[in-house]
Amino acid sequence: MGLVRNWTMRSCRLGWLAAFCCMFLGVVAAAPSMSMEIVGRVPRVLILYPYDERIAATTEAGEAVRTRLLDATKGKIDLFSEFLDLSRFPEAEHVGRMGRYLSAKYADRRPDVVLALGEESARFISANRKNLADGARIIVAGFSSSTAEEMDLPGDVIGAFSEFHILKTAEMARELQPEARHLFIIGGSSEFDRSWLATARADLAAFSKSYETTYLEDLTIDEFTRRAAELPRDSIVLALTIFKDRDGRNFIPREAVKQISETASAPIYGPYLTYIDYGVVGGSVVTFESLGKTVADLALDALAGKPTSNRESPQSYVADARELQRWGLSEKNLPPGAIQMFKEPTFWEQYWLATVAALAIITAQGTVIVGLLVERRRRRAAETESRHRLLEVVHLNQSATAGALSASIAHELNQPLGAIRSNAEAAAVILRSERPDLELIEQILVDIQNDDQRAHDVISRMRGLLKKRGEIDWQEFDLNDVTTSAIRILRGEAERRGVVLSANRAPRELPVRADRVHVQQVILNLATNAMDAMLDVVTTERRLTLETTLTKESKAELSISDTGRGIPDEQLASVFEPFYTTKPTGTGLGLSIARAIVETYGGKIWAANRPEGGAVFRVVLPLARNG
Amino acid sequence: MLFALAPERRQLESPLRTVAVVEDDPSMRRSVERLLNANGFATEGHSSAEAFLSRADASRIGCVVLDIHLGGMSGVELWQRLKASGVNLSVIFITAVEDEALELEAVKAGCVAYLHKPFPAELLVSAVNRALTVSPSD
Repeated sequence: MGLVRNWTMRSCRLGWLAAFCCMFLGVVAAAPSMSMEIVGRVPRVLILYPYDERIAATTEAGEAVRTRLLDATKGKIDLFSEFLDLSRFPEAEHVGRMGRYLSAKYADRRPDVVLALGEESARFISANRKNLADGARIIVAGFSSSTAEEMDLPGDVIGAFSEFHILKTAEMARELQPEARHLFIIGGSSEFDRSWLATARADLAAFSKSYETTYLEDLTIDEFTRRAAELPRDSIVLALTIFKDRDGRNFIPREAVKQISETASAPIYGPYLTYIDYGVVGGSVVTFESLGKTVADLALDALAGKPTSNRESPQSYVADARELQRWGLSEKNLPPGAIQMFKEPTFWEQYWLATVAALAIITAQGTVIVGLLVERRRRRAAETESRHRLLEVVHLNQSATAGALSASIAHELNQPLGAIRSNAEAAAVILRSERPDLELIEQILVDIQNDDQRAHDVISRMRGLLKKRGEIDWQEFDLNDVTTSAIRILRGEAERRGVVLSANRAPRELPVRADRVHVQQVILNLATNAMDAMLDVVTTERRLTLETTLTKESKAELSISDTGRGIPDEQLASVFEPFYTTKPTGTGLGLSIARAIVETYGGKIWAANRPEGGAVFRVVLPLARNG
Repeated sequence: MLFALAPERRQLESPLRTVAVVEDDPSMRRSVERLLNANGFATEGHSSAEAFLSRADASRIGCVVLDIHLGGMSGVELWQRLKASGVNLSVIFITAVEDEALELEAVKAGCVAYLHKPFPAELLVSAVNRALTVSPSD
C-alpha cells in the first residue's frame, strides 16, 4: 500500500511539474472583462486542485490563495475546495463522473469564481463549465501562457501564468560565482526540452559571451551524469528540463536533475521551484506564495467586477542553503530579497527571542544583584563608618570625661601616694631610733603595699576609661559590676563636689552584652551630668544615686537620679539631642553619645523628673541571658 | 634636719598638746599619725569632722591636721564651725585636691599650713611645730 501510494504520488506530481515546465512566451492574451453582480450574499469561490490534497505543490499554492482571499475579504467569502485527483484517475469516465458529481453538488450554490490550479484543473473546468459554474469567472493558474494557448481555453478564461526566465537564474548564478569561467546548459531530448534549449540560447546569447559556454544536449542520462562530474570547478551549470534523454528514457525533470547533481563537480541552477531539494543551488522561480497571491488578486478583481486580464506571477530568487554551503557560495552574494530554503537557523536565529529575553532577564537580575551587592557593601561600609565614628566620638567623650574627672583622679592618686610617703618617712624615723618598733615597721610596709595597689587600681581604671576601641569589644558582663567600677571612678569627683554618692545594687546578676567601657562611659556621662545639675543646690542636699534593677520585662535597668533642678518638661525629649546643653561649659554631647551607645546595644535611654525633685535618667539594656 | 631634733625637747615645751588628725582615708590617717608619733608628737585620729566634733577634747588638742575633703562636713566647714563656737585651734590643712581658691581662702583665714598630698615629712613636722609654738590661747 505504501509503495503503491508513493508511486502514485510521484506520478501525480508529474502533471504539476509539467505545468511549471513550460516554455516562456511573452505574449499574453487579454481576456474580455465581464461584470458580476452578487447581491445579498457573500461571494463563492471554488478552488479546483488537480490532484489529491497530499500533493504539496498545489496544496501550498491553494493555501496561499485561500489565505489571501480570506484576508482581503475579512472572511466574508465562501471558499470551496475540490481535489480532482486527475493524475491517478485520468480516465475520461472519472472525469465525466467527477463533472456530473460536482455539477450536482454545486447546483444550488453556483460559484461566482472558479480557480483552476494546474493544467488538469483548467481542462476540467473548461469542459464542465456549463453545468458546474455557469456564469462564473474562470481563472487558471500554474502554467505558462504558451501552455494555455495550446490548451485552447475559452476566451473569457483568464490566467495567472508562470513564466520561466532562464536569464534571471543565470544572473543569480553569476552573482554567486563571480569567478566562474565556464557555462554549461543542460537540456533533454524531448520536444519540450529542445524548444527550451532554443529559448535559452536566445535568452542567454549576451550572457554566455562572458563564459566558455557549452550546451550539454543529446546525451543519455549516464552521459549527463558523467559529464557533470567532470566539469571544471569554476563552472555554472543551468539545468532546463530533461523529460527525455537521447535514448528516449522518460524522466521527471527534477529526478534527472537530482541524479546529475549528486555527482556534479560544479553548482547547478534551475528556473523551477520544484528543483529545490533536488540538488540545485536555486534560481529565479515562481513561489507558491507568489502564485497564490496572483491568483487571489485576480479573483478579487473578478468579484469586484473590475476588468481583469492575464497576469504573470512575480518571480523570486530562491536558494537552497545546503547547496550554498556544499559549494562554498556566500549567501551575501545572493540577489537582494532572495529566499533561502532549508536554512538551518543558527542558534541566534532560532532562539533569538528566548535568548534576548533570557539575556535581558539575566542582565536585569545581574544588575539587581550587583546593585544589591553594591548597596550592601555601601551599607556595610556606612555601618562600619558610622560605628567607627561612634567609637571615635565615644573615645573623645572618654577623654573629655577623663579631663573632667582629672581632679578627682588626682585626688584618688594623691591619697595613697600621700599615705605612702608619710608612711615611708615615718618608717625612716622609726628605724633611726634606738629601739625601732619592727612590728610597726611591718604594719607600715603592709599599708604601703596596699596604698601602692590602690594607686595602681586608680591608674588601671584610668586606662580603662581612656581605652580606645578600633572595634566594639563585645563581652558579657554584669551591669552591677560596671556600675560599681563607675562609682569608684566617680567617688573622688563626688567627694570633691560635696555630692553624696550612693548605690542600690540589684540583688541578682544582670548580664548584658556590650562593650563594657562604653556602658561605663554612659554611666559616667549621666553621673557627671547629674552632678553638674546639682551645682546650685546646697551641699548637704547633693545626692547622686545609682540604682540597678531587673525590670518587669526582664531587662537590665540602671537609673541615675539626682537632687538637682530637674529638667523642664518640654525639654525632656531634647536633652539627648546633640549640642543640647544648659551648662556654660558643656559640649552638649555627653547625653547624645550616651544615647548612641545605648541604642547600639539594643537598649533605650530616657529622662524624667522625680516627684520629689531632681531628674532621673534610666537606661534599659536587654539581658544577655535569663540567668 | 628637723626630725633630728630631740622629740623630748618639744614635749617639754608643750607636754599636754596632742595633734588631732582628721582624715577620712584610714591609711592616710594612720601614716600621718605614725609620722607625727615618730617625730615625738602625740596624736589622736578622727575619721570625719562629725567624729571630731563629738569626741575631741579641745583642751587637750594643740593643733589639728585637717583633711579638706571629708565625707560629710568638709575640713573648712569644721574649722569655721570651731571658730564660730569660739574654739581657736591651729589648723594644718592637708589635701589631695588642687583647689587654688580654697587654698587662698584657707591661708587668708590663718591656717598654719596648707599641704598637698603627698607632702614631705619635714613640711608637716615644721608646720606642727609652728602650730604648737603659736599658742592658741594667745
